[in-house]
Amino acid sequence: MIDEKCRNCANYSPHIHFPQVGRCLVFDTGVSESDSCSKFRRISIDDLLSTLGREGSVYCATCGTSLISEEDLKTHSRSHCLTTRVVIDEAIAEESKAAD
Amino acid sequence: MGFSELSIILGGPQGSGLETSMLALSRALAYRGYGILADREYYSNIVGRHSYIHMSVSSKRIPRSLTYPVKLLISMDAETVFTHFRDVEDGGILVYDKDTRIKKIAEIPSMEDSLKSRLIRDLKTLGIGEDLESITEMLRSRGIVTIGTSFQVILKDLMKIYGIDPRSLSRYVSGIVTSSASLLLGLDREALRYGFESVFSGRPKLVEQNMFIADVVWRELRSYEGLLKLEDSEIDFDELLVATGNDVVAIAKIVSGLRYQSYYPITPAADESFFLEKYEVSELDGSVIGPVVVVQTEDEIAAINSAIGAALAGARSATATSGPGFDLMVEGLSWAGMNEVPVVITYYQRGGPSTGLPTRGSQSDLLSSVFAAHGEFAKVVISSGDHLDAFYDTILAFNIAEKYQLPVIHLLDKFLANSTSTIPLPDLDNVKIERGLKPVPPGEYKRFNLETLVSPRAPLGTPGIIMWYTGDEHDEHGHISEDPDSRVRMYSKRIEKLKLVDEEIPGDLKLRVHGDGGGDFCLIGWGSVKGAALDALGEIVRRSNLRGVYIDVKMLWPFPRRELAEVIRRSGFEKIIAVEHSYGVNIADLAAMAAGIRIGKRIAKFTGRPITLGELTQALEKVLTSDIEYVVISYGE
Repeated sequence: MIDEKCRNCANYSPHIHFPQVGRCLVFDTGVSESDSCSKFRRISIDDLLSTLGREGSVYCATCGTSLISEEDLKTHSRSHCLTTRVVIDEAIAEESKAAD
Repeated sequence: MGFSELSIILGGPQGSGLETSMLALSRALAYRGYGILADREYYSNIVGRHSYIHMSVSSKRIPRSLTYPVKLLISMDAETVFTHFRDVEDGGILVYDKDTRIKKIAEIPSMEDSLKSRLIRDLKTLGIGEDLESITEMLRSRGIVTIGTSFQVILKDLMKIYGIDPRSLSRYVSGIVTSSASLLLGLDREALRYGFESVFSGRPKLVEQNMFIADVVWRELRSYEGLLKLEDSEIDFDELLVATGNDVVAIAKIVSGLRYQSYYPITPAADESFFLEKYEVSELDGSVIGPVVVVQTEDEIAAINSAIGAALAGARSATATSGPGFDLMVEGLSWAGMNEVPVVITYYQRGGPSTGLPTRGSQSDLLSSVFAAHGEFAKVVISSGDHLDAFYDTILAFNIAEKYQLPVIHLLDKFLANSTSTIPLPDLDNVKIERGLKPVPPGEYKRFNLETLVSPRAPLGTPGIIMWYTGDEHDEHGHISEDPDSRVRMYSKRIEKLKLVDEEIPGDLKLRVHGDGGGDFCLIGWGSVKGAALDALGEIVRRSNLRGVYIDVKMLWPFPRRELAEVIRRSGFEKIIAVEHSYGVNIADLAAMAAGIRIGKRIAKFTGRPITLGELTQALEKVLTSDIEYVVISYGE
């Protein structure tokens, strides 16, 4: 039985480095993965496939990587936390050294 | 009572606020007068891979080297604990995010498979589970204090109270790290605020929000307050710089009167140019300093050639690069040699060959820089052992380039470039700017006048003066000439300027001997190994009662053969050992070639990670007490 927490919600977008916190796409606000609310909607494989088809990728919060194929999506969905979006930190550019 | 010196590691995903943590903590420590040296290790993949700061803090002096094991490990993620738990001293402290306690090594996607395998194998041998909880349990059994705090709860509170956008979370995670470290080290609120204010200058809201985090963290961890309390600082600072090697070189370039800098972005050189861009136009007492024109060119070929052009026009001119970029500059370097152009190349070495280890350090380009370019001509290669040396040497590089009209390579490396240190303010009263400008004699102007080795130099555009420049062999005017007699005189003129450099540069600027002169051994090196080498001398005396000196070769070309031979002859060292960040320890070969000095023992490190005190001391003991001639050291992930 999947708990009705943000981490399993279709509207949860985890932070790229700290996936325990993220953004709620419904309320457009910061939430933690253990939060819950009446708008909870369990993320489904159809949500993910639809996003993959429309936007070309979905996000695996467990691996911290984008998935761009249906095959990868199905493999990761067996045991990983997949989301349709990820929150990219705006300070990344300031925090990262130049490297080339 | 407290600690006078200790080591710290702060770790987390690259781009997640680690840089801010390091800067804020460094400034807070400096505010209370502590000396720091902080090296930053990061992957070339830039975002998401494991990154860490390895820091030495002292209340007695400015630290010169990094040491293991560390007293304090603060982790932003599980990967940091997995990677560094073996580095924590018994009785040390681990601070970690307890929300990640069930993470297993196998679940860390950003960790390299080889490291995962090594860790899993080692843990299996010790009968310890592969999850974070098992590791913290094992650490506790070693007397290490493990402090779990929930990043999630702190960040959630912050988002609720301040309406923080999750897109800026890393600015606050850094606050958790900095606040935890401050509490444990016994830093006060004022110092911590100073640290945040320095990093978030002009953004008071961020300062307040991070102070809110500090209050939450300090409340939660108050039972651990001052567990690693530092003794009051005894370091006599009035004013100091907290800066990286890149910053220091950039500042020195501005002080030296730099007017043109070109670059193509490359690690670990680019940050120097970014700093110069930031301060292209500076004002002091209402007067504009400079300005420095900083140009990002389309590649390194254009970078060196535009710097040459600016130098011909009379500007103090430089370019900054690393190994792959330098390779592209070599044809331009040869042109500069042919045309006696005073241009400075600031060369930050990194791990090669090819792109190699782009964000890791190395000293493996010694021979490449000394022997680069086709044909024979005078060029000078100098190196710097630490941040303060780098300041003075940057100015020296320009002075030599202009005084002798030749290209100068200032050979640095990633370790110096990306490490932050507390630095005493340079003594500007003793800084001399020597432009070597000779009055142009009346009458016909000959750019390459053969009457003296260094000809009068008129900038391009000087009224009434015409000059010619070409890559081909030329006569005194600069016109192409293949006449054998002219060739002999012109070719010799260019090369023999090296004799002038060799004769006129004071010995102290060529090499420096550190230590009390005890004659058991002599360690020779150059560049950023200086700090670890000097500290290792002290350690060796303490552990083995062997006394030695460290010879820091500052001028790599022309090689200070007389000075080195004299030091070795005078001291009668039986054992000479070379140390370098390379496989070959090539300074030994250069000394053999240029000075006929055989260096029998070598200590090498080429993992791209800095040489740390413990491993160098052990290696020295090994070569000093046995017949072993070559030791490779490799500590650090």
